[in-house]
Amino acid sequence: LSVSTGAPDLAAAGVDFEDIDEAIEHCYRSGWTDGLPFLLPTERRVHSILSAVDRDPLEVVGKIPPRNGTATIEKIAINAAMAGCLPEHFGVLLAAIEAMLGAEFNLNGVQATTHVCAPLTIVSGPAVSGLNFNGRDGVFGGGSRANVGVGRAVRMVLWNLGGAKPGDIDKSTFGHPGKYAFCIAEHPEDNPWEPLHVARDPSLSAEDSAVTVFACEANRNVADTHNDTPQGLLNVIADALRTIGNENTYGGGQVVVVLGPERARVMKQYGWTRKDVQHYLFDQARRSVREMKKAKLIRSTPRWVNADDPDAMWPVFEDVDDIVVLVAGGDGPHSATCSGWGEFGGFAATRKIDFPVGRT
Amino acid sequence: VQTLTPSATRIRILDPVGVIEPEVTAPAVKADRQLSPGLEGAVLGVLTNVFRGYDVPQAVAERIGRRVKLKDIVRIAKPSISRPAGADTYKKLAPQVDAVIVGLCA
Repeated sequence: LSVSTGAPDLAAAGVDFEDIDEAIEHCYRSGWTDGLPFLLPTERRVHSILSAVDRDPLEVVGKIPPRNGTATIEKIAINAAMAGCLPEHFGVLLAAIEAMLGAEFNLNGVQATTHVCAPLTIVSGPAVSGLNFNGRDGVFGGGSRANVGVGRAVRMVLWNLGGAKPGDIDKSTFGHPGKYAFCIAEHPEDNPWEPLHVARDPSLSAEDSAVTVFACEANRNVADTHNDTPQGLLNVIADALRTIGNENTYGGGQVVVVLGPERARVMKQYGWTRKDVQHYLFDQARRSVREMKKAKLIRSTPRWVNADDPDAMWPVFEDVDDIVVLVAGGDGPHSATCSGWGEFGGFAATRKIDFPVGRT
Repeated sequence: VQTLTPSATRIRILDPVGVIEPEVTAPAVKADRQLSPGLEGAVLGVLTNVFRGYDVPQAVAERIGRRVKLKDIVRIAKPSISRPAGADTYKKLAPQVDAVIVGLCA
């Protein structure tokens, strides 16, 4: 083993080995991994990733809290290499990291909270098909190198640059399976509406590709084999959204609602827009003041709700846009909800993916 | 039967950990008096982060107050329990105190 100053054109320190197993164990001993197997961050692999973007390797994207490690393009690439992220997906990863560094996301809090949330990356636009992201069957599960590579790379960046290690800075009571990898894509065909990023940022177009990041719980399945109208299907989802103990019921904030393609077809059949779905869920996801007081969950009350009337219906969400709706997954009578971190942060943030000229 | 033999090729791996640069998050305030060793006679500030009724920094300040004779304890709440206090909070607190408990760790 010997330590060097890295490759001539890279700033990161390098460590030399003559045995691959020694190199792997060095990474584990150094605390550079989250416990899962990984790829070695070799110069060749890192160079290959860096070649996929027109960015200066020494450009500082930001500091990753709470440890505040400086995230240069090069350091992010090294972590991407460890995660098995392919070069063509590096631009997606950079957009996700940049989105998470916005003030509204409060990455510092997301990384350190006792809450269970983990940053979810949602890919939308032509990049879904063009770069082989999975927005279909088993969208939250494995099987897609694109989803896993980007999701895991996000985690490695948060781990090695942000220092979010359980029992240390990461104080999450239970952790989250998505803290290994948590990346999905919008369904590339069965989405009856504009891409998610266009709905969230009208300055973007359907020809753009983008990521939306959101700190949330794991997907909760909502099964329903009986309803076949928008109202019927959304009533069941709304009931899941207003569960006592749910972070949104407890602390407001936002939620991601994922409609499977079967549900999306019903919405299309009845001419319901994405906004219609949001409005309906906003109206239905309420509990009575009596129930909220019984559960000691009354927080700041909207002016239009009479908190002295036990039968008044109290909204779980403050705004229809707090309900982020997208279509993903395979066929089956299911939807999913991912509750956020209440009013504390991790709010959905959308950012366009920049590809080098000539690439999409 | 083909036997795989270890390659003599050197493997160089790159450090994925980010450089941490020292950062001053609180504004520098010139002390107008020198505290005696310890906190005797000091005004102790507490940056509280009350969540679900637990106010640990305040409890720590009170415990310190039982050990040494403080002049006063000044308590100021963080604007958000989930975000670090900003410069405005420190500017408001700094003129009132000699020392501040800004955080605790175990």
